[in-house]
Order: sequence, then structure tokens, then C-alpha cells
Amino acid sequence: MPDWNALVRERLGAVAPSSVKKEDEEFIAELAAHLEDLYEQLRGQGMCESDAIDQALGDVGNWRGLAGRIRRAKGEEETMNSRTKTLWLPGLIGLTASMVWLMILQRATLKPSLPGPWLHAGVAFLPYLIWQITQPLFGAASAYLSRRARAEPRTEIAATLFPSIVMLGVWVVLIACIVVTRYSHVAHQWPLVIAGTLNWSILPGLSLLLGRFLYLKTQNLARP
Amino acid sequence: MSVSKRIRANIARGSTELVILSLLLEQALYGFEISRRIEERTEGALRFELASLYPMLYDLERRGLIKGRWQPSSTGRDRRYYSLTPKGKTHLAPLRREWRSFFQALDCLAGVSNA
Repeated sequence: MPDWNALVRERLGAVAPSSVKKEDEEFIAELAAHLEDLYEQLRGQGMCESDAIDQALGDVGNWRGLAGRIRRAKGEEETMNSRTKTLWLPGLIGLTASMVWLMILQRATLKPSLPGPWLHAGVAFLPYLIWQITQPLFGAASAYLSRRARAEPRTEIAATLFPSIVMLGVWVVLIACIVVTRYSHVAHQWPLVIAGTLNWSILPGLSLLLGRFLYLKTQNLARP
Repeated sequence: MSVSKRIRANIARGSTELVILSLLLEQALYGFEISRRIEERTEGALRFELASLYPMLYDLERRGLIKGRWQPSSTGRDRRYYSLTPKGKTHLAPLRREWRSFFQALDCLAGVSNA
């Protein structure tokens, strides 16, 4: 007979090792009892032990989602609070940290004596390059914060991409302004607009996602 | 969430609540028994997955409509039995009326009972 308490704890731990709390013990025991009954029912129907274990555990489906729903149902977290923890907070922290870092880089590196290539085409190329290279760190940080709050994968991705989504919004507004105010010059503005969107939203977005990917990879490697 | 999705979610949630409270009115049951009884009585038409059942049970408990208590089951193992509280009983009567009216209204509009 498998140790259902251990199996449930192990799976909840795999979802969020640092967030299995003492208050969860009762839920773990109850869930383990349910799975034990289901397992015995399946065994009674003639299923082999390993298949019965797999099917009973498979009945839970999304462990992360279940843990979050139980928390909310128990009133430990309101829906709004959960959304704040999993999306808004990690996203805003990522955005703020990323922008503050850019500001620091610009102040530290933009000197009048800077060689020409680093100020290529009027773009503050050096700070931008360093900023772009370091974006995966912010993506990883947002993903970590969102994951720690037991976010669903898509919420985690949204939190990771939050800075580039905001930047995309800024560019959409900018494009709308250009179309409205300088309609006759639109043809000349498009290359700059496209380059801006690419440099400030699309590429940083890809870097942020790369950070999340690397973070998940280190998590998987760390798991025994 | 779109309006139709929200309506469907509310219907699903409301019906789950009605089903669980109605079962617990008869006798105290633990989670696995609740899901098995629902499946048996509806001949498999309704099946509550674990992921829907326990959040609902904890929500009902938080609202004071049911109460859970660990006690030995018929097999001798401890199980968390849920029973209806007086508040739950008071809540169930209007809930049943609402659902009856809802199905009558559906029947008038869509002829559900003759389908």
C-alpha cells in the first residue's frame, strides 16, 4: 500500500516546495484519504497496483491549481489578493526594477566623451545593450515571484512579460499619436516606429521569457 | 470572463452547492463518499472531480453551511465527515426553491422536460 500522505506532500512540494505550509497538513491528509479510497476502488475493479496509483494521482490533474483553489476556498486568500500576488506584484516589481536599472545604466554610461559607435544612430546603444543582456534576470525574478505565489503557468508567463507588455502599450499609443498628428509624414516614421517596438518590447520580451526558461531549467535540475 | 462563461460558471457552482447540501441533509459523508454517491445516483451523468469537490467543501465550511470532523469510517480509518449545520439547512430550502423555479422557467422556454 503506497504512503498517500507522502505522495500528496511530494507532489505539492514539487509544485511549490517553499509554500507547503503547516495549515496544509489537514488538506493533505484529506486528499490522501480520498486517493487511498479511489486506489482501493480501482484495485477492487481488478486494476494492477501501478496503474491504480497512476490513475488515482491523475485524478487530481493540476496540483498547482488545486492548491490555489483550496487556499482561496478556505479564505486564506481572496481572489483579488491571489491575482495581486501572482500577477500584479511580480509584474510591477519586474517593470520597476528593469526601468530603474535602465536609468542607472544611462546615467553611468552616457558621457559626452563616449566613442561614436556606442551612440549609434542617436540610440543610447551601450546602456541599451547592457540592459538587454540583463533582461533575463528580471524575467527570472518575476517568474520566481509569481511561481512562489502558486500562479498558473499562463499567469506566470504574463507576469514575466509584464514589462514588455507595458512597453508595447506605450508604443501602440505612440503609433496612434503619430498617425493622428503627423499623418502626412507617416511613411517616413514607420521604420523608426517598427525599430522602436522591436527594440523596446519584442526583444526585451524574448529576453524575459529566456530568463523564465532558464529559471525553470535550474528548478528542474535542482529537483531530485 | 465572458457573460456566457460567467453564467455557466455560476450555474455549475450553484448546482454543485445544491447537490452537496442535499446529500448531506440525509447523512454525514466524507469527500470520497460524496463523489461516489453523486456518480451512483445520477448513473454517471454527474461526476465531481477531486479538484472541484474539495474547494467547494472548504468554501461551504468557511461559510458555515457544513462542518467537517475527523472520525473513524466503516473501514476503521479516519475520514473527515461533513455534516449540514443549522445554517446550512436554512440555506438549502430557498436554494431548492430557486432551482425549481429555474428549471420550470427553462421548461417553459425550451421544453426541457419534453426533450
